[in-house]
Amino acid sequence: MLVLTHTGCLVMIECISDSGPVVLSLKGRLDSTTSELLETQLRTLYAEGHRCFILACAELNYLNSAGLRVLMAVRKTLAQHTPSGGIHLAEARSHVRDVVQLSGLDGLFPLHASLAEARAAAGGTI
Amino acid sequence: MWKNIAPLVHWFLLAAGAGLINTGGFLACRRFVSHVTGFATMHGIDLAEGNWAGAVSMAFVPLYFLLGCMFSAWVVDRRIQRGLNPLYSLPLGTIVVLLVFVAVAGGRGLFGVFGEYDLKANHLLLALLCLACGIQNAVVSTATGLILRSTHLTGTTTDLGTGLVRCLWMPKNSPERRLEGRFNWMRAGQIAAFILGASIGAYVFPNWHYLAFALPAGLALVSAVLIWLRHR
Repeated sequence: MLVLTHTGCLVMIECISDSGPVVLSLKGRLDSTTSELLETQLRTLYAEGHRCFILACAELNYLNSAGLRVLMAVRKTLAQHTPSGGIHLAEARSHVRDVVQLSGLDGLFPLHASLAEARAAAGGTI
Repeated sequence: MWKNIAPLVHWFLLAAGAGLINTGGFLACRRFVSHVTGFATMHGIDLAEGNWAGAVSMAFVPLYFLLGCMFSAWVVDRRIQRGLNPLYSLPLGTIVVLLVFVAVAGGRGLFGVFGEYDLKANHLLLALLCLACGIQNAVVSTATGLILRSTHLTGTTTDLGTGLVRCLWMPKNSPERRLEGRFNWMRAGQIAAFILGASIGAYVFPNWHYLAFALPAGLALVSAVLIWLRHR
């Protein structure tokens, strides 16, 4: 298990699994102030060869358009080089799901009720 | 198609309600309601003209908008930060109560004659309407991740202008452009809903006077029910 933690006053990003799809646990707020941390983390993992990510959002309290833009930017990189790569969102709370659905992005970033469901959809092992 | 529109309906209803409230407030006492900049401007003008009572009134009214935002933050944002589900229906229900009170109390003469500015009576009216708008704006801003606002259009128009230029330079058919395009449609939809509400208000308030505030109360109630159905 790879454990990388970015701790700021507003967001914590913890990489809790790098076997199969990488699972990143997000805690706090993903907005214009903090989304750069996530982008850096995802791009670092991408440079290491990872192509599929699951964002565990059970403790993500807030997501706004800046956070969504970062996800879009990373997904674009993934799609350019690996069509099968992608970003899945798991265990998102209702207001986070709302923002994703409001933006019409639930097609690009599939929402899953559980990590197991996300892993299955992402093609990893449960 | 409906799947794309469904998450937006209640926010657009609230924007239309905000248009109604602003029209009603303006026709009732010749003051814009959810316009903190305007109140600050009026405060400055009243100060310069030595209208001390008016200056104090204009300085205090925006505080009710602030109080409304704080109330929303307490029951929505604070709960989210504590890992609890936000209570959208509570602030929206409060808006319904406030607007119904305005409709009934206005009908009984608490705010003076509809259409005539009376500082003392209209101060209370503006305070209640500002409180309702502050509550609503904070709920919508928090719930939509700042993609939408509700009771005023300056921020939305700024975002729309920026978003339109972004769309111009983004590659055609790119996901980023589609996302920005959707944001722009949402912003334009919110502006259109507000204008529609304001236009309807221009017809109903001159006839129904204060009772017409029951209309935005009804829209807030429908929105609260729709949001409750989505989150139950």
